[in-house]
Amino acid sequence: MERPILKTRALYKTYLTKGGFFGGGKKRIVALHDLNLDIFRGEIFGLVGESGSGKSTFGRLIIRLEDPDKGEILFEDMDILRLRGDRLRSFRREVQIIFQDPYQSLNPYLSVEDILKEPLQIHKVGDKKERMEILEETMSMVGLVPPSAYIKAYTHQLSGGQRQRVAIARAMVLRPRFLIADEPTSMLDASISAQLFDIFLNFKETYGVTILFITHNLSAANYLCDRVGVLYKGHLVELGRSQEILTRPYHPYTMALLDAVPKFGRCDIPTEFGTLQRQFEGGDESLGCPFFKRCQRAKMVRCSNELPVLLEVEPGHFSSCFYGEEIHKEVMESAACRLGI
Amino acid sequence: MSELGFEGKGPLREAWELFLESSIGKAGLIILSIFALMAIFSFVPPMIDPMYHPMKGVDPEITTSQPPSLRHWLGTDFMGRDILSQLLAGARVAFLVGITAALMSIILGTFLGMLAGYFGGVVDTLLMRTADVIMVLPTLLVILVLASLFKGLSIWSIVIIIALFRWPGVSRVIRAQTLSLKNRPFVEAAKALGASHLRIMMRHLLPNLVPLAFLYMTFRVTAAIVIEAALAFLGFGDPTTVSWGMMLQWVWKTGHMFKAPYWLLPPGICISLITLSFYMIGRAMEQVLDPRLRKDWEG
Repeated sequence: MERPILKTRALYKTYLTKGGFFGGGKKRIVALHDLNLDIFRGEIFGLVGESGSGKSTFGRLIIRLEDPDKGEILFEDMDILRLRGDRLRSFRREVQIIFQDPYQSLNPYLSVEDILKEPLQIHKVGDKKERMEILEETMSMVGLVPPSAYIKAYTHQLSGGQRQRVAIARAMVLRPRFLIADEPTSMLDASISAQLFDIFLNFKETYGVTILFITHNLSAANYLCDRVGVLYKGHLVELGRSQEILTRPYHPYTMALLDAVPKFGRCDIPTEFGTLQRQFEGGDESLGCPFFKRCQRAKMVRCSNELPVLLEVEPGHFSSCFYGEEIHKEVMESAACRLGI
Repeated sequence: MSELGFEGKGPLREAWELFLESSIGKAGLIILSIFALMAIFSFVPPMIDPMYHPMKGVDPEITTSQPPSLRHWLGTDFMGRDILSQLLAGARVAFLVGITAALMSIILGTFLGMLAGYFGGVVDTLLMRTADVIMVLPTLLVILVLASLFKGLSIWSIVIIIALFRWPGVSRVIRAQTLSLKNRPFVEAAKALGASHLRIMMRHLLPNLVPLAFLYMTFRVTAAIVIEAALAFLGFGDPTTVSWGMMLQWVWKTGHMFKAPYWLLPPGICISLITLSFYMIGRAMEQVLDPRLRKDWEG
């Protein structure tokens, strides 16, 4: 399990915002800032962060829907940014993606059968009979049972949960080695989400597929993931085993995320860690810690002028805060109760 | 959801059912089928008697325009040709010109618009600037110049010219729709699966563009019929074909404009009604495509 299937090296991606009428006012937004990340074979890796933190961009870069400005992506030690033609196509067979919105990710003019057969047609897998067998097996695994009941349906006849099952089946018919799930359950209700999580766990066990699970839902990450990476403004701020990250965080931003999880019946204690208390105006964005402006515990000179690097704070647990260990110790002593997740 | 599962009812079938719910669409279809019947029956009169041939058949006993009678239900023209059989033949020509010209311009416009929208960049610029140039040319004027250059145009060259002049409007709309489609997740999913450009365009973009293209086709049919009628009326039509515009030109040229209403009115009314029917069908299709236009929409 310790050999990475996917490595990114100094992955850097920016977007240019639309300028004004005369072309002025364009701004460069950094989506990913020198991201180094290894994802191990057979694990479910959770990438968490708020909206705009760059987590979806990361998924889109890995699957070559977009290209980074700088950096390397190595899949099985192969530089995928250089792939063209047939080699790119065989790479596409190994890596698949599931999108967030099941209402947008399926072509309304195709039946379930057409949608699920397309990947097999593109990659010329099997004959007619074998394709049908693969289809039925995959549909059963995602819970579209009996397959014969759904195979002729068009997407507008299906519910959101059923559509997302179709989207998962489409990603899995080729039996890829790496699956990117980009917030696959954020538009579905909780009971359906739980069922889909079990489908992912089942895929992991049956086919040994590695899953990159992009989410803003910490309880989902806790339930599903082996390891979790926390992304803030394109910077990886904390990385480690999911249990550790969610119960013994080192980075103030992770603490803030945990504070943001609604706690049932505890309105008298608004926050547990109290790291998101102020919004500091001014200062240079390009220098210093990306979280500096919102961090309560930030110390003026160092945090605003020096970019912290990811350091190992416990075996297999990385954090990028100068004062991480101090804050961690303080919080672990004072916090009476952990999160209810 | 029943235990038997879903029946395969594609979105096009659903759209058709919605279309039939609209009364304006049904009325348009009924008028149009009357014209279709007329076109089909245009072959009948010449078979009954050669004097009913719309072009060559002359009633030997008549030398001037005659009002309706039992022998000629709608009367005859200045040289004794039967107006009813000309009217029926005119329906055939209207369908031929309207539908082929519209179909050709729609196919051209859809493919060029899709290419421009999908590939963008240089392809887009080239195609759209060409479209702009053609769009600002006055169609009728250019056809008139061509017609006088070549000493008259056959009905097929008129069809082709109309098609060549009418694609830019369609391609603009299709291009805009392609731009909004090509970044949809289902297209990105196809890309991530390794689908080729051709496959993405034919299988994922085109079906989603067809309803819109179809809508524009109904409007193009109207335009083509009117252009052909105008050309014929101005004397630049195909002299070997009997179209409604041609009939109007004969009325005018022989000085029967205000003397023979039985001759003037039928082709005029037919042109108005056939364009109206295509327009009504287009309106009903618009309602199907854009739910906001539906009157009986219940939120």
